[in-house]
Amino acid sequence: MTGGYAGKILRINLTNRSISTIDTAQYEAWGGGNGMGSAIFWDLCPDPTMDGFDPRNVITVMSSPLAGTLCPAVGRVEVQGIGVHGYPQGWFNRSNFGGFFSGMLKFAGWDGIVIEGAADKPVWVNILNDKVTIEDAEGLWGRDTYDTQEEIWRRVTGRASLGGWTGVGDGFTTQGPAILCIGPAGESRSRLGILLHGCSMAAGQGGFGGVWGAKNLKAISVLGTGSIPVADPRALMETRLWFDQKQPPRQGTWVPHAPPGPGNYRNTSCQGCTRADKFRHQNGERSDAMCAETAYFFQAKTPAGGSTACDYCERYGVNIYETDSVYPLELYKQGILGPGKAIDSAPLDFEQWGTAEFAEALHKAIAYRQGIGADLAEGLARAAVRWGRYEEDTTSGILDLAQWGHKWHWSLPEITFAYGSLMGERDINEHCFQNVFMELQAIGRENLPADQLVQILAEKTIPYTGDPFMFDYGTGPTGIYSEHKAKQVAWHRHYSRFWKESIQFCDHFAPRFIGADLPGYIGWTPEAEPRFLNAVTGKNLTFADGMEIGRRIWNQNRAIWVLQGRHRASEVFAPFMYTLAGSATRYSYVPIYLGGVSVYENGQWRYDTMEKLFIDKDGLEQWKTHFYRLEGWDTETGWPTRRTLEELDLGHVADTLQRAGRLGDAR
Amino acid sequence: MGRWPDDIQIAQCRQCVYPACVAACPNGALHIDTKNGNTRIIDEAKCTGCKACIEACPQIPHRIIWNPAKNIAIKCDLCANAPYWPHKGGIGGKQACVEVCPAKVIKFVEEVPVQTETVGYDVVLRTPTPKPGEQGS
Repeated sequence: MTGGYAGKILRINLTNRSISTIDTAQYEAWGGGNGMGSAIFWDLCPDPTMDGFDPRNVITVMSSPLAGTLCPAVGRVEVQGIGVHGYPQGWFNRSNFGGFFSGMLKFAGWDGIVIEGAADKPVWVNILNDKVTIEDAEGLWGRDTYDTQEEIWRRVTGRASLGGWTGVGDGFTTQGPAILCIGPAGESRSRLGILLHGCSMAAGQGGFGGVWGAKNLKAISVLGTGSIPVADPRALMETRLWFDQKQPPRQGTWVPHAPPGPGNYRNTSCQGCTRADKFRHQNGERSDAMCAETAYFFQAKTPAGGSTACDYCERYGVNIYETDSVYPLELYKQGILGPGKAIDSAPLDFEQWGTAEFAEALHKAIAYRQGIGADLAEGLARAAVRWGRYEEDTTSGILDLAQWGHKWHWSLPEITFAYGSLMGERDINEHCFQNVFMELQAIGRENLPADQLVQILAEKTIPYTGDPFMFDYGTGPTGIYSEHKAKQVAWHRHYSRFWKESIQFCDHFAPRFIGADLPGYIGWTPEAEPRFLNAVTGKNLTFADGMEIGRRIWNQNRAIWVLQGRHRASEVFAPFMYTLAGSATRYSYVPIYLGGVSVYENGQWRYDTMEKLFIDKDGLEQWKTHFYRLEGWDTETGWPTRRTLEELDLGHVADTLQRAGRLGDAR
Repeated sequence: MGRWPDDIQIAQCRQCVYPACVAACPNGALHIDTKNGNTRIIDEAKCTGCKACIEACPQIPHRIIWNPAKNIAIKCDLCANAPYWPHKGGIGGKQACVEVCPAKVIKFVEEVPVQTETVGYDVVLRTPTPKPGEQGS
């Protein structure tokens, strides 16, 4: 075992209330986070085709080997298991949150937590270093997420504020426990139930809050007094100081729709980060809230309406990624939804949409399944199905669920979002290339012309280096339907699976290709990622080694989805995506923020907003063939082949697919 | 944990004007190091692990930390002898906390700020034997 790992993974079976330990070394080849969680899920889940609410669903909560050290932007936790949020099915899914849980879990001696079974009555898990107990959740069940955490602080430390010492075994700490919990929405098994840590660090997509509710699991609290072994402390210190030169620490947010204030506020960050990019307000509202929670500002009639919506979604434990949708409002405007209408809107008054009062009523109705809230608690896709509107509204696009029941999100023209999500299990919500074009706004496109940009990107995207056409967002021969775009999406998926979801560099942070605040505008990818990893772990991994592990995880995940029913024929977008309604024109801010993507036409590179670009059905099929071929999958079914899986040391996965009759043919 | 403004706690050693930890140390391990600009510093070789300095520190949490691996007390020395620190530390050098703070709210200053009991974040380095009433410089 090398540096960075605590050495063991906590395994909790809620059905028989047994607690055991898994040796981390057994899964070390997967890196951490998503890789380890995927491998553990494969080994422990008895049947990946089960429903996500099934008590046998296996949920992993995994830290990063770098968390709790001087390495910045890795204070994150990867949550996985069979989801309940997606439509028509939840898939083997993932979500991720920041804060202080990741480091604290390791200080307590654990690299992750595996949850199996379901308790016969509400419980919470209390981790104090090696001592782990399953406690009665009486007095916690029914409380909102903030009250739950404060009550657990009191139970664990005897106080609910900083300033004193708490004894933990032989150790002492001034810290309070880090807590991950569900609110009333999770308790009522809503598919929009989130897992919340602190004020607003949440794992929302996937509906894992609802899954915890089905398991009768209210919270996991962890308090540790240990530390993390670092293989080469001098190298880590030097890398951190080098990095601060490469990318000066910065404060502030890039979320322009939710500026800080009113009143006094300050910046905060997750554990160990060099970017203090969250706000904490003196008035206590929307503390630490980031992009997604503040999206309600778009609809808010007043700043207070947007601000308080953040807190209501956190407290009730509801995924605001759906409650900020204007879809129900659109139905109201059309006279389809409302008092006495085809869809009864009680107890909500849609005349109040955008106010603080409406925000509270909406999240409360969902959490407690009151009236229309019972439909919305199932997620917008299933609500629309209940209302008999799914087909019509995903065709017109007023219901903008692009793929797997997840909303249109930066989908076009920066198409790695759309393609990556379709090939995956949810809205990828990984801004790697989208950030490139946002950064250009600050740099000025005249200072970094498109032909120079694509060369920089082509040099940095190991192992596919040397192909600038990967970054052609046009519709020509080298554009979005070509094999070049297949390479870019593959790079994005493999990079994310390892460096972002397993080593867990934050999405706001990595990769870094270009930036206005960087010397010569040139970013530190692919240099910084392995430097930090090797300093902490003592390994000698190259960036390319990490990409290969990412490819391995991606293929293993693909196999799980294939067992769950994934097929080439099912990998299609909702109908509106093939119309102008699927283009960036649907959200006017997208062309404004992106400012233009790189396009190759008539032998020239240029920037173009491409705001009217939408996906051609035949073009998508052409692109899928390129993508499947590049990944080594059967181009007819989209299923991985034995040769591909064995090349990745996944022969056992190939065996399972073969037994299920779902192993791809090499063509 | 805790509400504004107590949701964040900064708990570095203040290098007190009248350092109770130095006074409590029975054998001079925790001393005022005149070679390092009067930094209050622990000579690890002399520390017997009696924990008197930890108990004496008036700040909560105590700024002296117990090292269970070595069974000695450790404290901030302004990076004069910090392990793995590649720069010259101490007075006139660079301190790790100052260098890595993303918000740049930790500074080394030579002007002596006002320090009242245990309130505030002020850190004061003064002559080896400060006298009562000698606030400021």
